[in-house]
Amino acid sequence: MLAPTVQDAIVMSSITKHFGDIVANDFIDLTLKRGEIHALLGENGAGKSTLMNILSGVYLPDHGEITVSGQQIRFRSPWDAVRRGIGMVHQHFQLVDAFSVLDNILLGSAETSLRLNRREAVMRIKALGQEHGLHIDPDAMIWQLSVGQRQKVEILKLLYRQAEVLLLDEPTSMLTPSEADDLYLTLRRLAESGRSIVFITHKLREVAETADRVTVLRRGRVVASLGKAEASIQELGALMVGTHIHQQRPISRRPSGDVILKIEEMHSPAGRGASGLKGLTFELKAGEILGVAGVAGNGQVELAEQLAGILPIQRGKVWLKGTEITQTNALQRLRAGLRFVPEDRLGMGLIPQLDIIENMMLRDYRDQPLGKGMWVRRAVARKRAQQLVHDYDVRTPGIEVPVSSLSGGNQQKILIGRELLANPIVLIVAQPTRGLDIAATRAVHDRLLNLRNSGTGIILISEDLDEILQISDRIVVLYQGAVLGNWNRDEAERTGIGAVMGGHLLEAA
Amino acid sequence: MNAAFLVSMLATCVAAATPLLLAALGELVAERSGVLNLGVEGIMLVGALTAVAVTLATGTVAVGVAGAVLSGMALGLLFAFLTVTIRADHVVAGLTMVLFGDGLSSFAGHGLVGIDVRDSIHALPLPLLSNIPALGPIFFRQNILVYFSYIMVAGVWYFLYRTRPGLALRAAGEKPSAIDVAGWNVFKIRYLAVIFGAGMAGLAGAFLSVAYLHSWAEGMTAGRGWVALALVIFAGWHPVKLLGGAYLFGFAYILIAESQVIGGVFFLISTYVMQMFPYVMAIAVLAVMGRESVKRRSGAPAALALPYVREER
Amino acid sequence: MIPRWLLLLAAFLFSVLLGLGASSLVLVAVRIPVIETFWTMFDGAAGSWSALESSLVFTEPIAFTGLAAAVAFRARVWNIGGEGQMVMGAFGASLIALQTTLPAPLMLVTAVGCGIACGAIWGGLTAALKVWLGVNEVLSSLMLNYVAILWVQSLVYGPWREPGGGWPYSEYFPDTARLPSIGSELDAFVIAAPLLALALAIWLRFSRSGFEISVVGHSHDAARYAAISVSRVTILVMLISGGIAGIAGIQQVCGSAGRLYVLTPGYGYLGILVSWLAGHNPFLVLVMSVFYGIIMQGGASLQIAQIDPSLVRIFQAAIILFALAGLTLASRIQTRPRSKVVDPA
Repeated sequence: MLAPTVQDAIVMSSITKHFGDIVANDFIDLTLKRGEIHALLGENGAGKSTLMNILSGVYLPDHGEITVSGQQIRFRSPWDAVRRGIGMVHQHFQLVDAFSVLDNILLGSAETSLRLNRREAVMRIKALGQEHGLHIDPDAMIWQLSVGQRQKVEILKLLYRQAEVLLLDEPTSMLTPSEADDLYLTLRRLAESGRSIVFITHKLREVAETADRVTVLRRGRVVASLGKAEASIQELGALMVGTHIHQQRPISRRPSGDVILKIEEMHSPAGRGASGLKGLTFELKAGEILGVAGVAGNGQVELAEQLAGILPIQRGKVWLKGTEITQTNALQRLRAGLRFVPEDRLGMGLIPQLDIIENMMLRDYRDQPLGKGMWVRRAVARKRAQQLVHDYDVRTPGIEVPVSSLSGGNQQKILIGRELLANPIVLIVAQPTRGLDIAATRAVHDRLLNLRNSGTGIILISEDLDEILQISDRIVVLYQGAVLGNWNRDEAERTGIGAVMGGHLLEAA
Repeated sequence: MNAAFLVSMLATCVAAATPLLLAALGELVAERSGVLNLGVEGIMLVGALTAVAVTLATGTVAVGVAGAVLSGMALGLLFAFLTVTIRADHVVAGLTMVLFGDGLSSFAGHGLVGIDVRDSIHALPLPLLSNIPALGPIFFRQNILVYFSYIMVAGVWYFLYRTRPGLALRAAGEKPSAIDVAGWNVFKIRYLAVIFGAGMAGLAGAFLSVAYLHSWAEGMTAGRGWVALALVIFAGWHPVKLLGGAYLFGFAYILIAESQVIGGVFFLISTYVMQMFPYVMAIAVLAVMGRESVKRRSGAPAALALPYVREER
Repeated sequence: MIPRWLLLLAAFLFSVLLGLGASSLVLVAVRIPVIETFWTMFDGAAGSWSALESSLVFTEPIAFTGLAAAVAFRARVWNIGGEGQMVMGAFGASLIALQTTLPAPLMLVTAVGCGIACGAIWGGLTAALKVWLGVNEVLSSLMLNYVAILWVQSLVYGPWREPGGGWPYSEYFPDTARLPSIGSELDAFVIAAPLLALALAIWLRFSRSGFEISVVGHSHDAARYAAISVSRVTILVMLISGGIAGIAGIQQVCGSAGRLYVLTPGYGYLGILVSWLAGHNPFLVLVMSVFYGIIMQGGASLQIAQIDPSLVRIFQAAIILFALAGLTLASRIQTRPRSKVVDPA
């Protein structure tokens, strides 16, 4: 670790943060120079957001030191960081929709005067806007503004209170390409004016074109800290996902079956931190596991929920076994054998306060054997629950405890087991082993492979590239709402896929 | 009906509207910070009683009014503790507060029913202003609490829209997480807003008992607390519109009283239909706002009645 | 780990004790004998069969408004409009009783039916406003209460007022429109209440729509996942809740009163409080409403003993305030999930 110099705006050394058993940040060192644009690159779970939250005072590190302009600081709250000139633009904007731009900026300012001097503030904001190319009408209402404009407001907020260090979390995840270019320009100008910028990203192109330095994180650790042009995009991609040879599960070769699910040109608008879908097209065959790789925020949730019928399909078409199902609803689809295990276990897939028996009924209570006429048959649900607990080796003190008291792995077993009981033709699983330990992960993979062997088509949406590489027959990447690439099991390798996950398009073969 | 009669009737409207205005102003501030206090009716009753009791005990009405405000603030503190710190359900807490206030005031006021409050607040005509034709007698020959209500409308407006803490308070009711990161204490803001609101409700009750009806009677607020709640909605949570709405409702109250004097079956039906006016109007406003509130242009504060939980550090 | 129900029961009992304690302090402060007061209350409310009967008079309407609130709150629909729905139920029954001449038993059946329908429609209004116009149900149901109350007032002070009478009462209903009485003060609906509670309990637990209500009440996202329409459930729940609250109104006018009048205010709100204390469980609602009836009758007996009956409202409020704090805190202890899922990206 080099001794801190005057040019260093921020030095973070040996930053460590635990959340329960999970080590989010593992002795991380990061140096940010004045006037530098620094990219923080990594997949989900790498620890990027945690690190930035520590720097902005939202989290307290368990270990390690932060030095700001040569002085060692301990932040006790976000306000401490603000006073030190550090500001963060989160992925989910902290703006009040009903207020004007001006009021939002005033809200975040560090002044202590009682009276609001709006006229003066308007002039200052306009001047700042001129200086940095952020042209926003201070009297506009937030709800009237586009995502790109709202982001500019967030940046203006930081500049207004004289932030010297700006942290941005996945800033281009919801922007159009031209808005993103606009942002890069803004960041460059800010850096030239002496401010230091860190932005979190998983997009390799951004890093290559905009950043002066990049720090790559993997599983909570720094794997590389490089200057501009010290690594090619492919090398960055490899660093991001790691180059170890994955252990493939030995699975039986099967001739691919017929196409059972066909998706054509699905579109949906961006919003809420995700990119939406942009002309998504692909196919799924019977008896195969199609791995959909990609970093979160590239349209995974929209894809899964629209296929399952939970969100309406706005543009595009879907066929199930040759029949168009675009206009059908969730109930019709689940009855038709299109089943879904959502990534939000406790928010959507299960009801945490209810017990296993009632959660078993959640999706199929209308039809036999769980339901009969206007009644639900709890005895049947009870038997099913007992069977499931037995078959999947669910560790639970009983079947009448609230599901919230089970571990993540056991909750996931219930989610999957429940959908599998319906003998699906197509199963969509999203992030099935997130937060699960090795044994539970293996159990889930076993189930999925069995299902595949019996002829079901599975769409496996996962941010965990290892998982995808281990059990998929075919692999595609979801990036900014479109499907890129198509690898067979044999040809799949990390580096190439990692690069595509970062948005780097392969040269035509 | 001649001009003089009209003028004197309108002057009475202003007085009748004042308790509504005071209570609603207070509730507006509380709701803007995100807390729904349904207990206004109960707090007004306690304020009304306290004003009478303390005035009779000390002989000075000013002390009585001060006591009423303090009693309101005490109840406000209790309510804030329940809803902001314990994060209990706002609705249940509010309804209970009505029950509590009603019971407490009835119980404590047992021996004071009907006693005429001698040292009550008299009219205080303002020197120059009261001579303006028409407007003068209506607005400027009132008592000091009425003048106070004018000042409060301006004060609340100025506070909410022209000061920094007022901005933070409004944000606390819309998106508390936004100001938490900016260093404001959401809990403190809500506590203060609720205590203010309850203090105003206490004051409104005091007005009713020592400046308007000049005595105490069980349940004397007769639903005015609920009308105040309707008023806040009707005014779209904006203090200036509240002023207009209060006088409109005050006018309705007086009209009802007058028509009862005139009598007849026709007037009796109309009386009750007229009394429905505040409530129906409030629903109409909500319905219209409902369409627009998707964009949250002028709807209820977005975080109303939602307890704020701060994330772990 | 202590079972949840035990924890909540303990919290409730503790709250009652605290409420009693706080009320005792008030009594001591005004120099009213504490033991004597509580004894008078207890004796007058539960000391004899006739006392209990009098308590049940208060229990009846509260049981219905409590059940009404329970149904709505289970779907997390904040129905504050029980008061108005009750009044509209009374209106509906009166409409048939006063304006038609049907033979028995058709008269009573129709009157009850009409009352339930009116209550249901009033509840449905709140649901419609919420589902189609996005209006917050707390605010709209609250406002509708007063519209309903004023409507009935306009009738009993106006066209339906008993001719020649000075008071705001309607004419007496014909006997065919009166509920059969039980004992000296109660009517047949006192049996209907527990039956209704049983029916609701069965329906909520074993029927499809009951399950849907539970899902919607716990998580709108899970409801979407289960392909349940939250709007449909909201409307259903409000219709049923309004109808049940309407029964409380029917009971008030077709019972011992026998005519339409301005109903005693507060039963609707008390129903909400009772249901909340009972955790929205139909059987516990019955228990709580009996408990409440006893307290209210206790208050009435104080009046006879020359002690101010409004003391009992302080007592009620004190219990609920402590219960509110205690139960809220207690229910938080058990609901933390064992494994906290944090995404450390």
